[in-house]
Amino acid sequence: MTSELRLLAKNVSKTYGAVRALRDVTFELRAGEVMALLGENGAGKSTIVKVISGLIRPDKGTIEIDGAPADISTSQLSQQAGIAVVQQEYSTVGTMSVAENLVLGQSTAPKWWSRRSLNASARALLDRVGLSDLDPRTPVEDLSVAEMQLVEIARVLARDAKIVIFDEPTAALSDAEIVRVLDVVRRLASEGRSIVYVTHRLGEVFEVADRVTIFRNGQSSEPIAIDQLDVKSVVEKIIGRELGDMYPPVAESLGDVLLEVTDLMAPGLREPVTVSVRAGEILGITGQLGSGTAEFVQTLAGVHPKLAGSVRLNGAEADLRSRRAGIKQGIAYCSADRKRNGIFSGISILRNLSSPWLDRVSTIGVVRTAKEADIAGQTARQFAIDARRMGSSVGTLSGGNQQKVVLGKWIGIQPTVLLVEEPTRGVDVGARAEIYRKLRELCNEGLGIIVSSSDTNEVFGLCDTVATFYRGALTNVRARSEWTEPELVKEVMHRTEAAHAH
Amino acid sequence: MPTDTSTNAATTAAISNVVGTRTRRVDLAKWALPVILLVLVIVAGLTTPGFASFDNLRAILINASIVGIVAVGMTPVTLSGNFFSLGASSSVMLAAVLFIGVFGGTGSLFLALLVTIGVLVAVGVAQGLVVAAGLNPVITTLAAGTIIYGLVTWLSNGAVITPNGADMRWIALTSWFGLPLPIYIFAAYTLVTWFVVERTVVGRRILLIGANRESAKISGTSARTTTVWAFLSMSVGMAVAGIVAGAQLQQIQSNDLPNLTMDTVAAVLVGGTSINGGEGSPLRSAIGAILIVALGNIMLLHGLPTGYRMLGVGLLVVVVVSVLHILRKASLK
Amino acid sequence: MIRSLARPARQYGLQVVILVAIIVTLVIVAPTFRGEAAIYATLERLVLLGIATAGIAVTMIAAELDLSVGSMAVLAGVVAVQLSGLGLVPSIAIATLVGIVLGAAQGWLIAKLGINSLVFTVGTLILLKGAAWIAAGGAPITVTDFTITDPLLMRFWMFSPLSTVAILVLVAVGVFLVWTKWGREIYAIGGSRPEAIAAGVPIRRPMVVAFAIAGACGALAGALASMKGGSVTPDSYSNLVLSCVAAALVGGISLYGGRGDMINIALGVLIVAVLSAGLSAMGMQSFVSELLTGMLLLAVIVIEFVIGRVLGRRKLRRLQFAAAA
Repeated sequence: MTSELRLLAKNVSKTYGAVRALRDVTFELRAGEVMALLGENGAGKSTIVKVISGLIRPDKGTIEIDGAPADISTSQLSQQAGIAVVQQEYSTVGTMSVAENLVLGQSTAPKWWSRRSLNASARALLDRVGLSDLDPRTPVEDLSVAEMQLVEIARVLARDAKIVIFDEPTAALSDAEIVRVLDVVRRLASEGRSIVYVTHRLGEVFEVADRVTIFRNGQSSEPIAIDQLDVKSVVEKIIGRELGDMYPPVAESLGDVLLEVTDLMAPGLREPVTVSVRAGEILGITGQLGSGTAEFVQTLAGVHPKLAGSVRLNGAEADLRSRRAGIKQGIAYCSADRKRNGIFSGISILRNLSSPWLDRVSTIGVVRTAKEADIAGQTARQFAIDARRMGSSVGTLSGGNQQKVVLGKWIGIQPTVLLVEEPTRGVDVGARAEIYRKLRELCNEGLGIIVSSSDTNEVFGLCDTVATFYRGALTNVRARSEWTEPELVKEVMHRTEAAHAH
Repeated sequence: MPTDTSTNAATTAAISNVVGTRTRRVDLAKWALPVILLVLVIVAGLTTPGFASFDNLRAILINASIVGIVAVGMTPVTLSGNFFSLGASSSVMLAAVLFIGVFGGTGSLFLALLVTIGVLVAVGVAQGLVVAAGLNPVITTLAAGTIIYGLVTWLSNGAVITPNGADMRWIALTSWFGLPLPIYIFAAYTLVTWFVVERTVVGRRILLIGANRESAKISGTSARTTTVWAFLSMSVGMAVAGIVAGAQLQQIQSNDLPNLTMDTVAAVLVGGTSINGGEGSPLRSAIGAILIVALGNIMLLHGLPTGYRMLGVGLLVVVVVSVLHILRKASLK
Repeated sequence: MIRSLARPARQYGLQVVILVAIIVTLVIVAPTFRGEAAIYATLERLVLLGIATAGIAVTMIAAELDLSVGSMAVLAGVVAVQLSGLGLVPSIAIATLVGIVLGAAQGWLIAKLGINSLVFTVGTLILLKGAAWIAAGGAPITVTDFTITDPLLMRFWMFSPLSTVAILVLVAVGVFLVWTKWGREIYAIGGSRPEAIAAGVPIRRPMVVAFAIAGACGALAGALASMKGGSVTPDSYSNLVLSCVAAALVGGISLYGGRGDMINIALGVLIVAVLSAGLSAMGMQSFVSELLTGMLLLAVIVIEFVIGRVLGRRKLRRLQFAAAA
């Protein structure tokens, strides 16, 4: 039985500090099958993928390929063993042509690059992914996001791998392109290769997968044949966890309407969005990558262009042209990626906290450091950040405390509305509970908060109202009490309505 | 004993908890470096005959003042993430030409100061606006420097500009407590720039856009306005340096001060200001300038000719820059 | 047909227009700038400026900048002149070898440390200049036996041995950049470094190669120029790096890396060289050509910037519509 397996990972464990990312996981793959890998963020999917592709070494466990033990402890070794990964992050160089990118970095690349031979071999690969009308001489930076994704896939095909892992390959693709990707996947499988298909989109799973492995809390399920599953059972297996008391109680009553969004259109949204937020309300917005949640929140923040529609703050039309304008009107915004645009790495905690409200603590351009320290100190205490460390660089804080700084700095502008994306990404459990508590406190003081998160459990536990997004459109808005968690998960993973058949 | 926690995106959190302690140690090391260098140089100096005399130390400070003023002035631009100005020589030369020319022509110190600072600020702000619009700062300042040099040479016909008898020697020679005015100007300018960077809103914003431009924009800082302010500050520094240089040399020609740009950049780098922006201080650049001159002085006292001094400075820059880079990388892990 | 012209037009169009405009203007305005003499004067400038620009441009393509090229040139010049007793070719060859070794060492260190080359080469610029000073004994040095360098002064029609070597070097580097795997790796790490690494391109090799080429070109340029002139001083070639960067940028090499080829480099160098030769023929002092070059540089980067913005906006609109489809 074991000798039929292309890949067998046994008893794999990986621990980071206090967190067990993988707990005694067994994962198997047969030749010529498409195995879907499902599970929520942080459940262990990406960790097992990294182990298989050689990016990280497990603390324990063995890997067998085609029945024999294999050493795939580095990405080079993993590639040599015949494993290829189509990643979410791009590995194409924009300034070079498609043909050149298909050969770049491959050990089979020729020493002399004549355009003719490169273009010829590119042609064959491009045809296989359905890009037959793409001129291989096109610089990759001129391609659409979808075409770039398909070129990534073509790159991997060039390597003739035995095992191909697709990591969320369709997040940015349109329906027609998704069909092409699924075609490629099926074709690869029919050639005898083993495919691991990591995704959040249940529709695709049911279309292309033979078997499904579900990860939850660092553990893996037994592989289940697809014909023994339906959407409901898959969703149940993915969540299956109690709420616990990490979340503070929801609001008992809500105030007046603070923010009123009517028919808002922005790049990345397919349909106009209409929704409102009241004082004291936490509106949760959830959807997968590419669903439009990020674009929606960023438009309200003023960092994404608004194409149409009206946004009224306390009755008056809001100026969303820039962050400065937003701050003046009391709109606070915490981005999803604090490392990229949330914190100032080398700068002290104190100065991180005061960055949006410097005008408030200065006279004729000179900063009144005592007043600055005072307000920053208050914020630090409110957010349980050790005030003695105010002078240290924010980089010395843990992820959870950094996130508290990112949130806390907005208190100083006395905000009316707080927009938060992924409030607990990279944050440990203890800090998470504190952040939730703080958000609820702010709400009780009269703020309106919009939380956008890909963690459905978080949205379900924390928010008063939940809105779901799917493929660029708002699909449903209901009070929390009118949702069940399985319903919520299903809504973001699998909309069966023909709404997206445009 | 690992707890049975929800692993929801918590892996990065666990790793960053470990990082916290390491970074604090590295932070300390980064500030220690210029101090260590200063101590080393002092020790080397004390063991060199002739170094510790008042005259010699004064000479070091005088020699360091022009490069020092320009380096201090350039620091806000570096802090804002805009690297440095490759047109520093030309701009300082322009200031000297304007100062000597106007002072020599009108005899009015006030007018000379006004014109010099005014023109340089205008030229600097123009570059700042171009860079703020998105053009590369290295190229912009390079082009500006070349154009300034060309225009001055053309308009002056390559001739030497002299003050025509107007007395400006007092600027370079007036002494209090045995130290001539240029040293006080250097010190005062360093203090003022330090205050601007550390204590004003503009200075704070310069640090923020240098540290992380995107975060700064989200926090409501205008990257454009702040960049222009940084360039304005640098122009004032160049004007002051030009005035002092003109007063010291008593004459100026368009191709004077050929090494100023590189010496200034070396001073900023040795002082430890990061080229990526957001980290460093004008005070450190002043120390950098003094360090370089002191090193040269020690070598001179040991009888080593110019070539060895250059070699020494070059080596110093390479070593300091590399060590600081390694330290910064370690703190980011 | 139009589509296949679009890319070369985009890449070289502006430069060709500028070059033609300059040539036409000079031909009208400078009666002595004609025919063989003009071409010869232009080609002679290719030796120092052209070879050194080729070297620095390779590092620019890698999204780096080697500021030490001028110091490499003077060091090589000093080495060549000091060793001129060994003969013309050996002295130049040894000087160039010094450049290759030092350049490769720089590239290796920069790659290993992962440091910004702008900052690192400021240090090596000063360091190598000091080395040149020491090697020259602090004073100008001259070739002892001028007969050794006589061959360099020959002239065939409009070419000389020097300009011929320059052209050969440019062609060789050009072919390397576009036709070999190692050359294309330099484009990859310059165009989008994180993506190139993700694709499996090594970092160290292309960096070492790029800086070795820069060192070799700088050294060769300095050695040839010094031997031709018969002497060199430790202060020589200190403005070289700025002229080379200007020529490369005017030619269309992007400071951000990944773009431009030898045709761009050649066009840039030709523009600067023709301008300089023409103005010289008109009796203008050298600062005039420097002034005009500076203005030209500013004009070119502003135009490229504006074009880039316009194209970028069009692409953004295309991507938005694609995502919404």
